[in-house]
Amino acid sequence: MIKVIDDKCKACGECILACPCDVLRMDKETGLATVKYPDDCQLCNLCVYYCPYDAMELTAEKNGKLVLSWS
Amino acid sequence: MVAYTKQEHSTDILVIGGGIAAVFAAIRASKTGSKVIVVDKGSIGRSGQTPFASAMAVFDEELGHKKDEWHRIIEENSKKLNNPAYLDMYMDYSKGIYSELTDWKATDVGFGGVFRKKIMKNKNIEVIERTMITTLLENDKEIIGAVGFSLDSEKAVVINAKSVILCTGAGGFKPNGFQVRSLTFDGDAMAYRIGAKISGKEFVDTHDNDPESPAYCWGQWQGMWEMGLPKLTEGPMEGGGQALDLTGALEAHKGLIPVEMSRPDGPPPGVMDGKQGPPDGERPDRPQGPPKGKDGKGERPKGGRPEHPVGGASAGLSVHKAEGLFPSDDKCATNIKGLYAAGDCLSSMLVGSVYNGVGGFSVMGSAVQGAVAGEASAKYINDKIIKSINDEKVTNTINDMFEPLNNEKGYSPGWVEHMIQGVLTPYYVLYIKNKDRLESALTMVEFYRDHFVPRLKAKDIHDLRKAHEVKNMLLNAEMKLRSSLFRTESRGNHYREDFPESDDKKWLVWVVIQKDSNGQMKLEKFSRNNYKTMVKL
Repeated sequence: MIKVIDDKCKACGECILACPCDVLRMDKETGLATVKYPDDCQLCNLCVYYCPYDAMELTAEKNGKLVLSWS
Repeated sequence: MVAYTKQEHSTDILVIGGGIAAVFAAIRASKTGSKVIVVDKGSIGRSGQTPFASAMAVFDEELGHKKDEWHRIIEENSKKLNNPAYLDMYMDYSKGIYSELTDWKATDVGFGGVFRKKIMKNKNIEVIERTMITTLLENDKEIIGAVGFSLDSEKAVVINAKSVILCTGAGGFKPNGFQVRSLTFDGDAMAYRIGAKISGKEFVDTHDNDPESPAYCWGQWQGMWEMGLPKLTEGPMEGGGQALDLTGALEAHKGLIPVEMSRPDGPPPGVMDGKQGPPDGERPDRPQGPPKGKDGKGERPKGGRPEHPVGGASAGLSVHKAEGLFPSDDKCATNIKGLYAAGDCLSSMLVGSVYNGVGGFSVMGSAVQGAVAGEASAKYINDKIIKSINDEKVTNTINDMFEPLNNEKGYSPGWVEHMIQGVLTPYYVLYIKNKDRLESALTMVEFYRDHFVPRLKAKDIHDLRKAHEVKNMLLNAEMKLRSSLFRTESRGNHYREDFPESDDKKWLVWVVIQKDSNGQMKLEKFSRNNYKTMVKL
């Protein structure tokens, strides 16, 4: 699972640029980076690397979505 | 109807992609003063598999390397399907590229940051990031531009160009546990739709995954992230071609668990003829990437191999440098005038039909081909003028591109993605292949193509990107299944249960795919030994 640590985020947008899967966006209300599309995260760690403020956290927790519905 | 804005550009050379191939393509193309635009779905220098590079091979006669010997070893490792012209290119360029990387000081930090700064500082290069190109525009088999959309607003991007270099990487069916979920064969798909030839689709890549945490990509890759200048290898290894190890898949096929598809002890007897690379346990320790954080003092998350690995982590991907646009010469040109391809979206067959990562050819191969494509493209545009794009054609292309946003009802791209994975990820389709199962999967893929693709509904721009990725994945699934059916033998990383032996009399060929005049996918053989006729074109 990927997480933004709000206290450390300075809204520089580096994680949004670095994410290969467009998982992160800027939250219009808080003005900080947010994990908007967690289902598409590949847990690749690039946002953690490129964040200049150590504001991203990655854990091994499973985040895959199960296929259950018709469409 | 979605209200979109339109941003128009005009350039000498358009580079699509943002990994190491795109970086070298853009830099070399701009050297002679050409104006270059780089467009990437992500951000420049750190897209695709470039941040995950772990080894590099450099050909250097001063180190005692011999061209004849490399040719011999790689031909053997490749199961006689490599393209020697692209090995020559590699041997001519790799040392220069390596010294350039050293000059850039790409040694102590990851490639990504260095590459991005290098491109951003170049006055001849304009960068458009977070923009997905969906369509290539051609006129009479000559490239004239491309159309795409921004991931940040309803904005269409139209680029008029004299030449286009695709550096879009290969792709997978968005498998868990491997860093290719942004790679969805976009370049191959766009190029196929305008009549380009495609090849190498039947040779599959395999990496293992962790059943306890199948999505944990970072862990599986053992910390090999942004390592700075990757470790230099000693070049091709005698008998080092990693033919597909199907031990785990065959165990699974017999009902034995786990479905282990790593490469421990070589292929099952009688299935593959190739020797394996060194067992994982014998690999030297790999350096870890730079510590996170701006002060470089932060703690790095730990990676590690799964205890009980299962296959499928790279499902959909071909062997590096196997799948992609079929070159028409020895300088990354294609059968569409002005369209070049480099890296993992070029079927350069640098190492043929097997995974040869141990030799360190993957990332350096992309850099070399990017550089050559950049130079060739700059030469090509010399006497060319920018050709105007028909307004009606642009409007129709943009409307088609945004259609999933306009559909009030339809299928969610995320759901179709799951359906594709359900059909194509299991070991018994693209790994242990046979006619019945390939045909059965093809039936489903054709249904998805005809029924889901015209009715995709995107709820926002993120979803629109996924809708186009799904279209590209389905087209590639069809190519992979048809090529796999077509090649009625086993060779390298292509295994047919119903044709387990290699057949050198019939199959020392590359399978070339092209859209025929009726819009149907046609497949042809191109004899590997005729590669010199390509060079002369």
